[in-house]
Amino acid sequence: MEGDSWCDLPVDISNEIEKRFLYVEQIRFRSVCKNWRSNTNPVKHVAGKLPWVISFADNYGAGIVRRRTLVLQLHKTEDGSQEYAEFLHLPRRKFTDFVVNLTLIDLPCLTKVDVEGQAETIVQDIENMVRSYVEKLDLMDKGTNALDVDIIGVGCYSSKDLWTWRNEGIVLAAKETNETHDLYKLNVLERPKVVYNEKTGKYVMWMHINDCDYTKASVGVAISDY
Amino acid sequence: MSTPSVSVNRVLKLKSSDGEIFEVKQTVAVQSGVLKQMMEDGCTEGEIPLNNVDSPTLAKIIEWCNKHHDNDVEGRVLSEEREKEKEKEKAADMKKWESEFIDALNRDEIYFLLTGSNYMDIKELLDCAAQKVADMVKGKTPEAIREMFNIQSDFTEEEEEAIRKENQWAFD
Repeated sequence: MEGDSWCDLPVDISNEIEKRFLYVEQIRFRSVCKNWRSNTNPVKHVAGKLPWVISFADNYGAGIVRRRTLVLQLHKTEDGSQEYAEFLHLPRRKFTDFVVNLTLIDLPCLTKVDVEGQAETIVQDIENMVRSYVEKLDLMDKGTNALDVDIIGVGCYSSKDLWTWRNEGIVLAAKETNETHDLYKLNVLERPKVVYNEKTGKYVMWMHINDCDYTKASVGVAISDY
Repeated sequence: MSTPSVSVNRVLKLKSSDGEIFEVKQTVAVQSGVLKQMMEDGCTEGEIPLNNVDSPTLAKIIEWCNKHHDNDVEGRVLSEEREKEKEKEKAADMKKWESEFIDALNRDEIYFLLTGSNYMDIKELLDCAAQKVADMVKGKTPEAIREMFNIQSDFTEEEEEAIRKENQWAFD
């Protein structure tokens, strides 16, 4: 049996392993070596296997903190037992203390490769457009330190065509005076995302909540009827 | 589960790729799709050569099959007398045994268990080993996966670059 190696994994066993993966894991699995790549099919966008929320890493220029891309994956179970969510960087830690069955409205799979007829810059164009609206409050000028910026709140824009956008104003406001509140203006609120929960008919906002020295490092959840 | 040609007391003689003989009860061996088929076809006389399975791996596979066979037999008696809760408890115990069994193996042993259970068509064992590998890979970058399984990337720099470009965000 000398000479056998993981890279030579037979295709039927490779399939057995791969079918247990979700979208991101499939992409990575296919990128290990040529044999593993030829064993597997190009990853398709399969409903239920897509990430729920992808928050792209910062890339705002020099002097601004760059973090990893955050991927939240929703796991639906076939036998009807409890559904849960998992962060890609925290495998096997199940987050269940929220009601799931959400409809994605956070543009999870933006165009990543330009196809025939599209401008070569389409990928960057779309990302720029989305960033400029969805993460409006998150954008900072070059050289600005997040710690120096007070929380104002989370602004919201709506669109039916992803081209024209309407400013809906501040939907989650900072707390001006309550110093122990997570939303107190001297704390940090970043990268808000909103998803719609079909089961409860409510909108759910996920965000990065921190205190001013970045030691709290928490996920914040806010819920609204509208 | 039982077939007319399977008898409780009869044993099969399995010969590993390195020539070691293992005796296995027929009632245990039916967990292997390949051996079950051979028993139904009546061609299990003498030694059965398993050319793709070495003796350490075959020993592990037989340990697994014996454990699951014992559990099956006991389970049948219990299910008539006791409540569902006990059944659940047994299932949980088996899960625990399975994870201890698989966690005790090193990476090469898992590899041979995968190929061996696939060759012998033992679905539950293949499932367990495949899940173990999937769990090992989860949350890891391609580089970390290569390191874990001692795989050298055979992509050219250009190919590697192209793969990354397709889904850059998945590699951060």
